[in-house]
Amino acid sequence: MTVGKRARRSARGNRWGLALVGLLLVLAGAAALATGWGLFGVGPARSALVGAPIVDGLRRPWVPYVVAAVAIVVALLALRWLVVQGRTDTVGRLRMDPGDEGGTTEMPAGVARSVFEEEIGDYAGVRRARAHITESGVDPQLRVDLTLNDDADASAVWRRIRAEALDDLRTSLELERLPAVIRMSMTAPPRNPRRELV
Amino acid sequence: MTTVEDALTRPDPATTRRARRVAVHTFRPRRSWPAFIVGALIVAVAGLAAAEVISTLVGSPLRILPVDKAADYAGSARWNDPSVQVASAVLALIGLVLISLALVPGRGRWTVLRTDDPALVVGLSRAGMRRALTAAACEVDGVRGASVRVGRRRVKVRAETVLRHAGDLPAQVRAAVQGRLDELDPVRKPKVRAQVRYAKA
Repeated sequence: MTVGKRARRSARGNRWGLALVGLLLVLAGAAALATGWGLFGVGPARSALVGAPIVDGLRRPWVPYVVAAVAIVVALLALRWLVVQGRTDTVGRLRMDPGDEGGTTEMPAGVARSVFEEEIGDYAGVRRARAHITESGVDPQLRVDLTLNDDADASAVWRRIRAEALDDLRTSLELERLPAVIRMSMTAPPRNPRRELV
Repeated sequence: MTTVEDALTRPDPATTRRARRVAVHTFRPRRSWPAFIVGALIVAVAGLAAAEVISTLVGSPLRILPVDKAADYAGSARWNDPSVQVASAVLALIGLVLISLALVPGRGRWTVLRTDDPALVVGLSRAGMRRALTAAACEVDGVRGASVRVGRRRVKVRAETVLRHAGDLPAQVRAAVQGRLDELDPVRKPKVRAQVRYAKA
């Protein structure tokens, strides 16, 4: 699985949804404008929005049921779309490789995280480090949020994370690969700099 | 600065391209807020409509929405009424805004840094980029303070100095900021322009 697949998939879904709703609105608005300008004939332009033929059509017995059904389906789809926005891709538990006995071991993600965060927190230039396990418990990925000093060598920090901390975490979780997203932000160096040996 | 290890393990162009594409897509704006707002509006409208219709069918209509007034209006208004035309134009405009939100990639809060590794995506916040480049400009001898504006294609640096004659200070500032930028190695390399302002001591 490529890095951040879940997040990218939901982002793509959002854009498709917005494009669909936007297209419907544009078509409806354009059709209404066209009718008003007489592009469909002079008769429809002067007629009422909901004239006699439409009212007769609405009087048919099955119309309310269809309207209710469509409205419910649309509402449920939109509700699902809403709920997906609130979901984060963080995962709470990791599933370790099943042993020969066939059972699975589950480990809370916090254990792996805190060791990793501590290791990175000691690197030169790193003020704060937060890590989250993402994507899935079986095929986990990592999201790292770092705060660096603004005179820190950002490039060196992430290379070091890749070479050391990421590799350590990967082997300790017994994984073949551990894709990661690193987000760095910066802040002014502290007034009383910590004595750094590394 | 690349280490010997990095230089020896330079991957093929296909992997580099894939790494860049994955990274850029990861940090693209997700449009969560527009999606939330549009979704909430649709739930409200469709939900109310369903409630009204079902309650009317059952026999005890809720009458939350002004259905009678709406029906009267729809019966009397015409397609070529100005109010109808304005409303349709507004509707179409909102639709265009939504379509553009969907199609336009957007800037995003994060500057993507080059890693050449599809399994590792690194981003630097926009404020962080500004701070790093400002710090680089301030490291030049003679510069008292600097302000940096980071754009898509250009980085504008305005350095302040108390020196009387700056000499090649603009070039030095430009080189310092460019050096820091090269170190960070973003996927999109903006050009650096440096300007020096002479301040009173």
